[in-house]
Amino acid sequence: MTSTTPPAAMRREPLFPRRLFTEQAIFAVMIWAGYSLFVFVLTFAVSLFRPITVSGWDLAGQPAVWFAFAIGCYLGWSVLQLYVTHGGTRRGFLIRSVSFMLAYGLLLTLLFMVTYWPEAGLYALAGWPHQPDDDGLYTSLRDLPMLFLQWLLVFELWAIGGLFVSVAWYRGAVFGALSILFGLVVISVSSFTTREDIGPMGWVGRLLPGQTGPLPAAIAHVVMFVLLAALTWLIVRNISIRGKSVEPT
Amino acid sequence: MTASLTVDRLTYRYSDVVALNEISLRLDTPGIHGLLGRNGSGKTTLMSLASGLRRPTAGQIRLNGQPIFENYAATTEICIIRESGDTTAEWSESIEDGLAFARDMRPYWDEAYARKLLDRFELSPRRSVAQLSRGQRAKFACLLGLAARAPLTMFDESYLGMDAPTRYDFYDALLEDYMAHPRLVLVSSHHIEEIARLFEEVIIIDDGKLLLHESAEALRGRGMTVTGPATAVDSVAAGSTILSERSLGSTKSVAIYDAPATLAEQARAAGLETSLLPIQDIFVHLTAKRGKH
Repeated sequence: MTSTTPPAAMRREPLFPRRLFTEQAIFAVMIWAGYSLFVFVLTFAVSLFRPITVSGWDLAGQPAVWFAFAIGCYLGWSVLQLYVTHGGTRRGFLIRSVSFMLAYGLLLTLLFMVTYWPEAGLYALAGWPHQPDDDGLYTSLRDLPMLFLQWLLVFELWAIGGLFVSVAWYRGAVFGALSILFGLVVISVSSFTTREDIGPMGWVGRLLPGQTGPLPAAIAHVVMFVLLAALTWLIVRNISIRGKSVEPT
Repeated sequence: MTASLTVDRLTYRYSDVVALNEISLRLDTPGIHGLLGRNGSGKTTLMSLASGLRRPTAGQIRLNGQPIFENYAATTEICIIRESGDTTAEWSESIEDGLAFARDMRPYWDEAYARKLLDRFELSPRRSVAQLSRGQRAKFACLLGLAARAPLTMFDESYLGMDAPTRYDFYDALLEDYMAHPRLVLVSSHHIEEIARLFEEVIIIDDGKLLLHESAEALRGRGMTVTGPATAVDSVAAGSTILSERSLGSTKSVAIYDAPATLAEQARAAGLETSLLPIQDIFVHLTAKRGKH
């Protein structure tokens, strides 16, 4: 033992994965820079064939939430195994993952929001209306508090959803399949509380109090976030960490 | 303080398959100990339980008297390096990233030693893990295991894929580091003849049960080969546990297990040649006796 190594009983598992966050934050900024440029170029290309009536960046939100989902999957599928194999606990993994999600969701929200400004400038130069694609919690792209709230809630939920689905698949195919079904319900509740059109999962909406708006949306998203974190814990608390070569589950 | 690993009636089941069946043993002397067993005997499962990667179905496994599963004070004292190389996120990181992760996680991590091993194993920190050959990944995994300097370090077939010179280099590095920093090292290997010279104690498990646990020195002394004229060999070996017999003309050689202390003297008095059986031969005979060929 070196003189700087604390005794085993005194060690505390770090609550926040600083290195992971830094690495993934840099990755997110790189992806955001490339993606926003792509969306601006695509918007310009589309303008050659048809009039631009809504914000291209607002339309680009769906791929962005899938990015949050993918990062959640990365944590559940790759970091879990790495972390526990290197001496961490499953409990510590979940705590670190949730704290990571909260910070990362906030970062993605800020990156997403900040892009509306250069887009607004471009739209003003081109004479296009800078309007949201769909009615959500915000009806104007200048409604910053509602913009912030909606995208924060959605990014956080999708990121924890990715974690939940990936650990379920890591645990086994049956858990994985069930997690997809549950995930669809969660997405539907999320959509219903922010906008009324929730597509093929409309039956979920009939089970919910018929209210949209910031408060129901915030409550519903927080409840679902906590529920997904709790279910993730139930899956992960005694999960076996398999080797990458063939090993029984 | 030397780590102490205590296994008490440990059982692990994969659905209907009993991988470990009420194994009990205690390891508390520093040394490089061998965990031997045939494929599917339960070696990897035992090591996975000893590192908290799996939760026992029944029984207990403790490090320094503390349960291991989900106990940060225990799991940070343990390093397991498995054949599958799961200490690195191979598709997304470089060797430098892997070192950084280990540095964050391992309380006894020795960065200077890790850099020395990079040179010794000819690994560039800038290389992506995904671009490494299987042997290079094995070298990197073993590097992580050595530089972690965990009080309980386990290598589970982790040097598969290395060529013979590299394996010997790893054995030398392991021995050198163990001499400088004595600790509890558990090694599982099918290259028994190569690494048996390092073993202090040998544990053999078979079909999920503990077959043998004793010092390597004592185990070596328990096997003997007696060679000479067939009639004289038969006379000396009569009543002993014969592991195998080979004859060529009138010359016969028998491998004897658990020979009485006087047998070597009797054999020499009868003009027969005697030699100790290598641990690998004893292992093969002990496990093959159970009719698994």
